[in-house]
Amino acid sequence: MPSTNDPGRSALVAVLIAAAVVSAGCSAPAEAPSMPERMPADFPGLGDCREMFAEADARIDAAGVRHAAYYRVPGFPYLRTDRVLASFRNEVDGIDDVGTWVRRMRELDYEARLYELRNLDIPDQDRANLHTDLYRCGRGLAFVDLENDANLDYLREVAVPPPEHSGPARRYGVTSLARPLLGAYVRHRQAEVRETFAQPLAPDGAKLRYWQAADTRQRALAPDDFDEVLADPLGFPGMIGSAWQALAEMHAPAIWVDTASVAGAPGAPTWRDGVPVVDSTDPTVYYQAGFTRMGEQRLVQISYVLFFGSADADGASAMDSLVWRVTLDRDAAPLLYDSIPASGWPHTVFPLQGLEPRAVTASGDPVLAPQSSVPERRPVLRVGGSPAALQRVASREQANPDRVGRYRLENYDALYTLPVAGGGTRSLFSPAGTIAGSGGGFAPWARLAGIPEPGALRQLGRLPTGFVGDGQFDDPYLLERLFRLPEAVASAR
Amino acid sequence: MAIRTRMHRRHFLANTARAVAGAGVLMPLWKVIAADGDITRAYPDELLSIEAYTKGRIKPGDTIDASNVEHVADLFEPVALEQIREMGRRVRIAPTTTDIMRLSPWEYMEATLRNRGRARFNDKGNVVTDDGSPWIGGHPFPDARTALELFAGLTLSWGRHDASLYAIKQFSLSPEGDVQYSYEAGWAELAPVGRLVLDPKPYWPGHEDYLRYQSVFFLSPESERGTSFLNLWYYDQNEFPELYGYLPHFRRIRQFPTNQRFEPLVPGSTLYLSDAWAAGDPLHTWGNYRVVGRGPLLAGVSNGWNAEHPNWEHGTHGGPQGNTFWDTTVELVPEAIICEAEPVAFSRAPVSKKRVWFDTRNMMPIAMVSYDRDGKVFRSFDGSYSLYESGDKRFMDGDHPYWSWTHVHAFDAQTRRMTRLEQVRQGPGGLATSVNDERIYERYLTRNSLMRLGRA
Repeated sequence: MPSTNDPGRSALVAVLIAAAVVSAGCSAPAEAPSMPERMPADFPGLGDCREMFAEADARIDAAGVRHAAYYRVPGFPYLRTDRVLASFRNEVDGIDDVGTWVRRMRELDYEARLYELRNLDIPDQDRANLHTDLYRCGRGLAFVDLENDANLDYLREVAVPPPEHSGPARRYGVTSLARPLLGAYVRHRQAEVRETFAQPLAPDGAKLRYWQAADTRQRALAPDDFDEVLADPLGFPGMIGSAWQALAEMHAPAIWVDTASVAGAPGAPTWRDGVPVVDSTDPTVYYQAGFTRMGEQRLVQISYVLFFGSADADGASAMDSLVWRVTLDRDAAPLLYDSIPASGWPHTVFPLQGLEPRAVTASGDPVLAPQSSVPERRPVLRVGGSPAALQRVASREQANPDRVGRYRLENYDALYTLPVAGGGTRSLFSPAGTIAGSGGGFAPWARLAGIPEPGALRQLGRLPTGFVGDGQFDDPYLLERLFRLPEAVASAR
Repeated sequence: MAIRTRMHRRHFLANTARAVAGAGVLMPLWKVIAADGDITRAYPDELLSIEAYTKGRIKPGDTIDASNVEHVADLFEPVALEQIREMGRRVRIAPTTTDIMRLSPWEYMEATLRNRGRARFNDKGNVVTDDGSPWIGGHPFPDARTALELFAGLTLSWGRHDASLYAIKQFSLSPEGDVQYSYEAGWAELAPVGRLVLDPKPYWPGHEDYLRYQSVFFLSPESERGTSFLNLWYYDQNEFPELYGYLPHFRRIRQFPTNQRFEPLVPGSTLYLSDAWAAGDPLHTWGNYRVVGRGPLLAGVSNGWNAEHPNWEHGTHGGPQGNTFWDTTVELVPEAIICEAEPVAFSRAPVSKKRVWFDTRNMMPIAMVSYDRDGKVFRSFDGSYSLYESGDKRFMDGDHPYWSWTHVHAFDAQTRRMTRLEQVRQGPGGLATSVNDERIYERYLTRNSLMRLGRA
């Protein structure tokens, strides 16, 4: 929650007044879609589908179990999207492209409703029936609604997740006016980060623990060339579930924790007495596979999310969280490492294969590459400080651990339905995509940047990176914004 | 944007490397079969006789229900077992079939024996002959040692005839047992390669790049009449089929996205294209094929043809209204190989894996269970096959009695919705089950035929 004695508050109010004029110009709303009121006879049993979606959504919102990872497309209650999928909206053409694009959005809705309905705590069979009915309805509605080209055009227009910078400072133009101020603040903080990265890796007396992933899948299942695997019509590589997991295990980082400032191992969030806490007795790192774009290429990204119990359990936040992401090239080799605290700042990049960072992103944020070189394989993340932060990317040789702990690699989806005492499940994340009770830190500056709930720990898909601009961690064009493209990629565009 | 469909060669090699021992307990099964077509010498008595297996507690002619299923609980796949324990399903026991020629079409089994040892995978993972040509008919790997070989043989030929036209009645039931949708439909399949009966054989010149033409079309109820879908399967098992559909509402054929696999074709159905014959997708759109177990199983592989009904229709029982399950006859299958596979997914597929039980005698699937993304049992698919011969009644396929499937349960274990299908003699508008009739192609397997069926 915002603090009342926030030093940034007066600056914010001053610029708010000046910005009132700027806020006047808003784009005209797109023309609403024209949906058939009655389903054609070919679709028996679908007549009450729109009402069914409305009722289910009202129930989900009333219970506060809305899944926030995907954006609900206005006017199409059976579609959800993310930034990568949205980036194709003006490129898809023809039955396979459009069909795949729309079906992927239906699948995201199906997936989101799986968690929402499960967290509604209704009997299993009722949940399964409602879920199945909604999926069936979504298929029928998509078929009928999008037969109308005007509706498809409308969909292309509205299927775009807004930036996370939705706070009043953005809405009223304050951030634009405060750009110089924000830029100076960001540069100051980035200098602090660089200073941290320049500290000795293992100073005398440091208490460091080393953790690495326990292998469970066959490495042979992981591809070594994404051009050799099946791709969908949008160009995304498809693999079996075990191959995704094998890939995640191959690139999972080792974690080297300064136990003087960080409590124990990276652990598993759980609900305890209605409060999310980290169980460090169950060393766990969460992973999620995703995609990004570079030129005409679709690249695989694997995000690893670490949770640490707060060193000071009496503090405002009972946990810290850190995201480490590996972007793979088409040969399945790391092309970029980047990292961000789950609170959304600072975003640090560790380019490989000669990727050359720009000084400043197109939207105005300076690029932070705090380390000139990093290991190309199996990096070791030196984590310390309070809140727990990435302090260096090392090699195993540098860490030279005398004792190695193993952590479990778990699918990030598990966090969406954590068991609660007395039965039932609850997502770790709120409908706003944040972890309840987390927050603090750079609050006034974040508010000036238009970031709501400053400092709150956020879920993947809801991570802003920009202070000056509106950069997003899952921006599908992030590589192009941060780096000069390799010649071969740039010329292929 | 083009679909890139090259398979991952290393995956393929990894899959094929996981071999298992061949079938048969006392002797190698296919050595015994090759000798005289009888499996008896390959298995001990307790795997050939349910009476011996259960030490006399169950015998042929008995009915298994909730009162006695515990004697044979280890002989059912988990969903069927739950259906018997909790939903009132019953099955009748028949003796184990030992004559291999009664478990497949005659010509198919002959070709399997004749062509044994001639199949291999090419560098794209497609089954070819020793000289690299498309497959020439019969099961390519009768003594399959890997799950990939089992699925490859199944995918190459579903119904094991060169051409089939099935008249079908389909019913979709709510968890309360209400029949919410009932359809009458036709399902057509034709093989342009590996042909054994229809001329020209083994290949239809000009069509060698295709593995299968397949369509499904609906004749009733009126609201669905004319709805039809045509699947054109490439021989290359790294490519999704082309899928065309005719929906009367739109009065035109439209192409459907090619990888729409985990969705029913018509409202209310719990049957997906992906479910067909437990291998409804091209071979390499699934992966990590592996054998996870083997053992005896009770399954419907004989006596499934209801010759007593003029239209071959089956009785029903069980469930809330006594109509959820087909009356089914099962027999002790001496050895089933249990395989698993995972779908290639572009995001997070609703299905994480499927488990399929194969009868080692004929390498046919006898049960399938799929699992959701959390690894929980999702759906099951169990069918019944039969030689269409009962006493003095026969339905002929050339010189021999017809062999085919008779009925299928497609069950959603989470919603408890059931879709059940049966093969019948005739449907509306003169539709009649037929086999190896070359006219099936022109009538049911072209885009023009889709239009014609839609406007009929």
